[in-house]
Amino acid sequence: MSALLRVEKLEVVYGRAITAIQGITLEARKGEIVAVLGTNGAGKSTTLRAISGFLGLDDARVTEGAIHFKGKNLSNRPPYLITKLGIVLVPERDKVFPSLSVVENLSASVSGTGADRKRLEEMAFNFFPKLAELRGRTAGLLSGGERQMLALASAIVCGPELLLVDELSLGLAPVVVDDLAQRLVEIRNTLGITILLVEQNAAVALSIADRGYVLENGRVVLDGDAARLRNHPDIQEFYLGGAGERRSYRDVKQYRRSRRWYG
Amino acid sequence: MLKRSLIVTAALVGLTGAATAQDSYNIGLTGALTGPAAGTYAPAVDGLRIYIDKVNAAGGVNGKKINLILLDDSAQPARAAANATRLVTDDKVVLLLNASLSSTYAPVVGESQKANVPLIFASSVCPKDVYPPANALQFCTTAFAANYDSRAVLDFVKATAKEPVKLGLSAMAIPISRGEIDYAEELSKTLGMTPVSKQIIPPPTPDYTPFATLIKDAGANWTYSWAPWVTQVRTLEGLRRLGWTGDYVAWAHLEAENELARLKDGKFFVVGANSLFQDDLPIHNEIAAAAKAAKSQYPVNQMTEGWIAGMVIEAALKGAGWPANAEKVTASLSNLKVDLKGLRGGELQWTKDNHFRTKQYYRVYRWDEAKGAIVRVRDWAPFDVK
Amino acid sequence: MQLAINIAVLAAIYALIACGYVLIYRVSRVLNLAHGELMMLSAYLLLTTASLFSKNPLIAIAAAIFLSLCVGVLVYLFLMRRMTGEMVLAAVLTTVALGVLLRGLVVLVWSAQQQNPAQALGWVNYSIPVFGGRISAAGAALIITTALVYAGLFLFLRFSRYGIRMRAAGQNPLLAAQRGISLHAIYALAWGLSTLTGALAGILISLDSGLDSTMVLIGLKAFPAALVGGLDSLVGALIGSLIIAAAEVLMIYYVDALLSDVVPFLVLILMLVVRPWGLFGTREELDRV
Repeated sequence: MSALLRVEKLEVVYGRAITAIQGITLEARKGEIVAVLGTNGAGKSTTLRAISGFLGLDDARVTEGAIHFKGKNLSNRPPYLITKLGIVLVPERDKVFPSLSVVENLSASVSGTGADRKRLEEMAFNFFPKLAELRGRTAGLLSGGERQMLALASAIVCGPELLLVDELSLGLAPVVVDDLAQRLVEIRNTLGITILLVEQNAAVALSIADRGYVLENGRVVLDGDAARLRNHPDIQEFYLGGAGERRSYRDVKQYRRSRRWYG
Repeated sequence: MLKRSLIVTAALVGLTGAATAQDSYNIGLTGALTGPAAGTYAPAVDGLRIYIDKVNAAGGVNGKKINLILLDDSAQPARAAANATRLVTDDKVVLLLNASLSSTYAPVVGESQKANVPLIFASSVCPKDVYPPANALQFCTTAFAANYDSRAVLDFVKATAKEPVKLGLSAMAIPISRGEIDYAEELSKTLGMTPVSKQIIPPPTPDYTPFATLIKDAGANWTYSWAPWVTQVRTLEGLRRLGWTGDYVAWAHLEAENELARLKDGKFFVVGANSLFQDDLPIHNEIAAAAKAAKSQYPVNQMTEGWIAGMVIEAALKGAGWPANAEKVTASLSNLKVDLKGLRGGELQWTKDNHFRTKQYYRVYRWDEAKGAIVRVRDWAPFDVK
Repeated sequence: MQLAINIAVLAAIYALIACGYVLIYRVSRVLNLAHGELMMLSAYLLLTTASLFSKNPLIAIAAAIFLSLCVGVLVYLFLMRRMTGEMVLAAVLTTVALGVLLRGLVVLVWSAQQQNPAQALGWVNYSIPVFGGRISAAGAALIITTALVYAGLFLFLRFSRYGIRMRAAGQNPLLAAQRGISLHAIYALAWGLSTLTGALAGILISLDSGLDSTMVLIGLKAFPAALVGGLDSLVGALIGSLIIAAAEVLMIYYVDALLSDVVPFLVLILMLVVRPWGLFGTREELDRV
């Protein structure tokens, strides 16, 4: 099957000088959950912003390569048109409109008209029954987990074919994260959409992903099936916090990791 | 549109001015032809232009055409200064005219004094320098006159009022209007009237009702306003809106004739020094015909001021002879008598000492509901200017 | 009683103008300093439509309002749209330039003379007795219109899809764009609505007290009202207008009329010192002003 999304040799430069990502190639096929792993500054978010069309806001631009979605080149399209094409981003921060109520958040986002809108809203509440209970509440008063639910719900009522999720687990309790991860799987299974999940928490990401990419210093350093990645010794060591004495301090890991991957 | 073509014409005339300098009288005007203040000056200037065109079409003065150069200053002092310099140095005018806000006076007067070119204020307020003892170079044809106007108005009020007058006063918060209303307040006391409320109204006031409420609540039975037309008429409208039924008297600005007909208020009197077109004199028909032929965009009944300025200029240039220079024109202006054919109460006379006019005449008009027309309430009342 | 009526009319004038500032500021953080000029333009448009539809005053008014709405949308599409993504300051300066342009244009086309749209429509501004005081017909219309406009805007922003989207876009344009909301459409809508309410204000004021180019200054005086209330709050604009109008009228009554001219700005300065984000404004937005 051909790729729904194909990022090819993408290079992004911030300002004039700082190259954030250098030649990233990745793809996502229809119905897949693809995990993109990496630490802070690895280029995960930049990749997402490049796909969703928001680079310009940060004074960044694509200097090399291309992004294809359903065979169309996405470069230079304004963000709302990219959303209209079917790519919807759930951002890392500021993911809901805090002064709007839950239901207003949904209706601001929902596409289509009349009955279609109703159906989409119903669907969102089906995936997240908790939100139905909270429908009148102001989004700014929601807990972190509820906010993430609302963000996901708002995103799927936009009718995406490709859902980009930036840090699903950030700042949330493990039990909440596991629940949200299961919802993602459910959403994928029900709607047949593709999900690109950018995560620091590799355990969660790889538990639901079909495939994964590992980014480091703006490059893809590892990729493959989720199962393979889960068992890869480096992933074990650096991301999944493998066993025994290898649970070292973070900066020691960073050092070792750099040594191994960059030689 | 028309005004634009007027400006374009002005520019063209300006360009050709130098070439024709030898065989025509060059005179130049700086005025508020555009901008927010233009409403008061542009119609008069258009009247002047039409008058001069008419004179030229009839062969000019002393066999020479008058080359009237019109420059726009948008009521901005800096532009007026530049205009005056240009008129004096490049166009070598023998006579300057100002038709703009008083803030433009200083630079234009300065230029006139420096070059010894006489300056006429036409349709702009007469400065102190034109009253006796007058500055040698400054003249004024404008109808309204500080202090004299209020004397005439209060004289009329005193003669008309049947009960003791409790006087409301309304001014715009600009120095000239405030000064006049302050003067009227003092004067009214000497005439046995009681000034009960004096409102100084800031220009950009969205609603005049609060001011009107104060005048009404003070128990005024007459109200007098000497201010730009907006303030005069909005104070009146505010009062009427509150159900005030007293008599209202105001200065007859350019707009007066149309506005009397619009407001149809039998107790609204306008006092003015120019006869209204309602009087239907031959001269009025002449102005109307000329304005129509010239396709002016302005109401013809707002052109009187410009027409009078034109008559004065024509007479002055005739007196100066040919070839004329600024000195001869000044001499001619300082000893001038112009028959205004009924546009004012009598002839306009300038002497060595008096560059305003030796006698100022006032008429009073109001709307007559029964006749459905403007009627004259009081005929020319003369006041000596000394 | 007359005092209360005078305050109410003035407050209605300010409030009707102020909501135009708020609408645009709220969605795009741009201060539209040409609002007064756009309002004046609408009143002048009424003069023209009044002569076109001299038999049908209501059609003339409707046509003028419709034209104003178009002007607002066109201003956005051809001018302000190019300013999105630029600094807010650039956009504000653009509106200043637009204002200067409109002022010149109005004088060129309609001349600087005092005009009376009410006369052009053949309407008389009757005086109506109410509660022991009096109010002009146009003044009453102003109060009613302001009430309807605010109620309408409230319902629109609360319940309609585009209203909710406007609020969303105003709060977080980035997220709004990510959710597929076309910011251009929202901004154009805001400009349209803003000029529409401005048009209502301009037309009603000109029907009440005539029209000349000083109307721009009235637009400017309504600005403190919007600011005192907090620039991104409609309720704030309403309350702010009441405060400013009351202060102004009370000043005329009891202190000095000349102060009334500066009192809106005095209240504004006081407010900026005590509570810079306004009565109902959002505090966090302050750094963006």
